[in-house]
Amino acid sequence: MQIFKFYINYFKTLDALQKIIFDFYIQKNDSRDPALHEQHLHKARIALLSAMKKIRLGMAQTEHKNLEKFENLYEIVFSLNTLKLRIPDYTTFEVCETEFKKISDSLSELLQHFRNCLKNKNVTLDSTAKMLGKLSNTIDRLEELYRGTLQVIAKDPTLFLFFLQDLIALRDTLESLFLGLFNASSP
Amino acid sequence: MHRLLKTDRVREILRLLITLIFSLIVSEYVAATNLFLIPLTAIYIMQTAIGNVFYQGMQRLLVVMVIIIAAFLAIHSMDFFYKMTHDVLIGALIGMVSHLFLFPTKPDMEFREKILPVIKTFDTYFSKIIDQLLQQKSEPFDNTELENTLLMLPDWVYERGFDSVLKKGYQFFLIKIEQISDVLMSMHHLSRYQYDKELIAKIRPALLPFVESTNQFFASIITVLELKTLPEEPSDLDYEFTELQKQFFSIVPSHLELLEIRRDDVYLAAFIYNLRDLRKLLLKMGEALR
Repeated sequence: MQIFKFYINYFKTLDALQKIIFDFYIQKNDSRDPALHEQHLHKARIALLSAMKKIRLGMAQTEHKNLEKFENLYEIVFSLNTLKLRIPDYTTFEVCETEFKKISDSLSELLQHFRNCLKNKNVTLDSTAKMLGKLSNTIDRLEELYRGTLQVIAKDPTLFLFFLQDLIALRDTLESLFLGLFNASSP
Repeated sequence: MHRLLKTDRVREILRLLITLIFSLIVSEYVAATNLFLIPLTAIYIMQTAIGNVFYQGMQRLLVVMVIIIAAFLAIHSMDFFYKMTHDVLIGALIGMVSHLFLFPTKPDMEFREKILPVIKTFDTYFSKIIDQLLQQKSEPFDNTELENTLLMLPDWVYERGFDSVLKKGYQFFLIKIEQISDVLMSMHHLSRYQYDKELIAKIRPALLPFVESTNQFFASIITVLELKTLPEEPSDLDYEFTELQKQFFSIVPSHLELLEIRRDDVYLAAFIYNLRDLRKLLLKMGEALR
């Protein structure tokens, strides 16, 4: 089905976007090039919005609920990008480098898994649950870091709390979208 | 006719047509080969991004020259190589000159034309988000319009070879626009949440003046971009935001960083932080337009 190709492309572009966003947080201060980063971000944004446009054109009216989830999903990813606007001192990110990397990697794995499911039309609920669990674990690690360290060292810890809330919302929306797309019932 | 000439597509088609006719005439009289290399090269050279005629034109000329050299290596005829080079160089000259002087696309005008609908969409989108937040049962709206306008953003400002004097300023503006779109999308995400009605009712009186002033700020940016005179300076939103913040912290605990805090409070706090970011970005954009 043509629409499945559009979904695959959407998840691919969303993955590219999240990688660019997290890469910025993970990079060391001296290797960070904000201008180049913005340029890459711009290209990734255009690719994602183009993919979304195709979904919009190809999707039936009956699937309106999923369309809303596709929208919400990228809104949350863009929301994750606002952390850099709020924290001018990028050295704070170094504390969370490992946690950020793990979140980005597990998110990437999950999005790749979605693409595989769509490509092979083979829905594996067990492996999806496992991957969602893995993503949850990485978010939990960041939450632990938040409780133990960030609350103490960050100038405004609330910003990391918002970031955590976004990550939790992202995981929930991914789960809900997966179930919506494959019309599967919760275990 | 004058209005028609202001349309990019019409200007582009006219430019291509005139160049094609002119290069065909030149080809008739001075071409050294019968391969229509003059009009073909002229049209090919003209396919460059805005503000990038010379750099990208030269790049394209280089591509054509590589093809000619490859043809020469295959045929082994020096005479044919000279003739083709002659035609290609004339075509490149015609292409570049007509692109530069025939209905030229001015980067500043083009940039403004592309940015203006985005700012207008931001203004409407922002109002819809506020409506959704305040009237929790209102009809949800989608991002179609925002997506479409963001897809039209002038990304030629990132092209290598674009005027280095203009590049920095244009890129700064574009980055600010994309950052505003991130903030607005984050707000849209937060406005989808079903908040405690009492909480919304309490924040409403302080939120509305901020929203009104933000709408006025957007309107001022639009006025400046339309090259009209501003009737009055817009508010810097400082007073409105301080009042909003005061009101918010009078109804929720000030130690937001505690994880045990209600989700409604955290989401609303995130929404208010987004308003703060939006204010900062709008002020930066306003300064850049002065």
